[in-house]
Amino acid sequence: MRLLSELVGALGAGALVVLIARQLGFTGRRSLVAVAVVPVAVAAVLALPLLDEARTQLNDRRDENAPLVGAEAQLKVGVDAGWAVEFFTWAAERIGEDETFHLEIGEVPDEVRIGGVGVQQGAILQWGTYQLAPRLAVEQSPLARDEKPGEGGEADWLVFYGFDPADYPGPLGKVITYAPEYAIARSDRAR
Amino acid sequence: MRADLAPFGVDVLLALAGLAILLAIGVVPRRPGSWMAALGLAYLTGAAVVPLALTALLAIGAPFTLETFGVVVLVCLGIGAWGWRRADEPPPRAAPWWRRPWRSWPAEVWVVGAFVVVFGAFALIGLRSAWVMPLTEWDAWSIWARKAQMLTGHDSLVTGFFASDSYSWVHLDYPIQIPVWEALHFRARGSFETVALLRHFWLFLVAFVWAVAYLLRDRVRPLVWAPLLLLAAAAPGVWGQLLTGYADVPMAMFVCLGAIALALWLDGGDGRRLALAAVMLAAAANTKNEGLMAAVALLLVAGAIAFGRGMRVRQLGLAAAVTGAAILPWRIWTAAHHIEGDMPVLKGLNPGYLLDRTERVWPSVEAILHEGGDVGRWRYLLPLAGLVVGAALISGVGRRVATFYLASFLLAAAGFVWSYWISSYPLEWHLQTSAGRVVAVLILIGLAALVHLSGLLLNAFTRQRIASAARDG
Repeated sequence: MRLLSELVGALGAGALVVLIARQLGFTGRRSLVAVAVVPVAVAAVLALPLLDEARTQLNDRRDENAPLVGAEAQLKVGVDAGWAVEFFTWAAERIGEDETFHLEIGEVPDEVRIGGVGVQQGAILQWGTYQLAPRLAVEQSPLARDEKPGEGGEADWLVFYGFDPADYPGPLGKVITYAPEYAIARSDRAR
Repeated sequence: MRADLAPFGVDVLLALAGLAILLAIGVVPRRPGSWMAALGLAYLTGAAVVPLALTALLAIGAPFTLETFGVVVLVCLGIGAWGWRRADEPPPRAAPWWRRPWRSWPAEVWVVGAFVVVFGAFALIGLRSAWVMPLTEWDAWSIWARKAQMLTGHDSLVTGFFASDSYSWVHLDYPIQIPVWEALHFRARGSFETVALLRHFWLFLVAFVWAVAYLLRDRVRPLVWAPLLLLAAAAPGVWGQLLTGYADVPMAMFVCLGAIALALWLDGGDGRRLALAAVMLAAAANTKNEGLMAAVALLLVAGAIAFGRGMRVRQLGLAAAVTGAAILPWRIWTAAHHIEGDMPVLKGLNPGYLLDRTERVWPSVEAILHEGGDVGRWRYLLPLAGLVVGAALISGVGRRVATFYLASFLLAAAGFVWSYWISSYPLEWHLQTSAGRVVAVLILIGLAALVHLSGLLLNAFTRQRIASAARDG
């Protein structure tokens, strides 16, 4: 209800201006239109200090962000979230831009599930597909973690994130490993 | 250096294309001396028209490349040249102020000068900050920039993304005005580097303030618009939200300019304003679904007032048809690819469905009121707008304009409440994640009312004072 109280305050200020205008000899409609002095006066008084406040905030943000360069800035979200951004960068170097992929994400400790969707897994799925774009993800269930055996068989590549390729329930081509449980593999279709 | 500057070349071309369109529809006079003042409006017109055209071309399968962009700009310039040739405009009555001795310059020139210095400094500080700002807000990278990324890496609406179940979380039904605009900048840069994006978003703020001042120049004095627009620019809900890279504030800016143009048409019957309104509202509707809702609200209210006043409703109908036609290609493309939105619109017209979930109404109203009254984000824009609307309605000065803004605001707000009412998302989560952004449209409709009506009221006050002084003298 704060908007209503602000509105009441503004109307009060307007009423005050009408009273002052009447004291000054303005009557009827003339005293009413003088109400427009209120917003102009409020803006004239507040605009410069508020702009200065905004200037300070903008400068603070610049100071905070200026040290970030190139990839650091580009990958900030993933780095801050603690996701394996280097792995996706590594994978992107090996998957052609016109090739497709399917992302297999392993169980995340302390995962919270909402409507069957793991929140962390969903976030990694969104980030991973973003970092790998413009390569296209295929057969990518919104549930993020593969619930269907063999899903991803239509993709050129399978990308394993925190998931042991040995646990993949389907045939695979050669597995190229970045780190344990972080690997890419040609799919059975593409090998 | 080249990579940093080339995307600004896109902005220059958008401004040129927009200027040409404004010349063609007659919103900007033919005199080149007046073009500088119109540059903000020109940029936003270009940012409206060019992505609309590119969206239509994408929908019919034309390749999305910088060459196609160049052709669209050339077509706009051709339309502008055609409009420029056929316009018959009387020469200005007096020499422009800058040709006169500086001591005889009107006071308003000094006010505008002071405004340019203050706002210009703020704009430069903002640009300096936006220059190094990474794109970190969730929907900004996961929805909007991702779509731009796909349009940068592919030359078409590649169905493996834009119509794929694998990407259902990116809201495939959302229109692509902003992704197209973003992708033009990425393509000009030669790479998808998101840190180079927000500096161009910042131009929206600069152009918007410039555009409002220009559009209302004949009705509102600089002494009135200058402080009010500075107050709006200083509102963190405007500049801060713009620098998230979300589409809400650009969409609200299109709506605001469309609202002003419609109000000017209602006030004077000038069809050129109506053409501008159609362009801006089409861009808003092609930016977000909330923009479509706001555009419909504005057009319905304008239609009702025009009908009541015996104005040329057919002219408005034509503008509404243009708005509808401009957004149709995307809607047809999504329908053809069986892409459905999250909003159960048809169910939302079913009284039984609505009655079953009435408990969602009041929390939605409360959330919108709560967000709209957030002084920390929006400063005092909405209560001040309420005050001048009230004064205009009671005094009769600008009553038609005030009625238009108030009814549009209420109808758009009712539309947003309805969308929360019918939404299948859990209400608390939905309100938490969107009400603070969605309300930007209402705030900027309020800003349009605030600047426009303050000007009309103070003009009336001054005129009456002069008239009474003459009478007394």
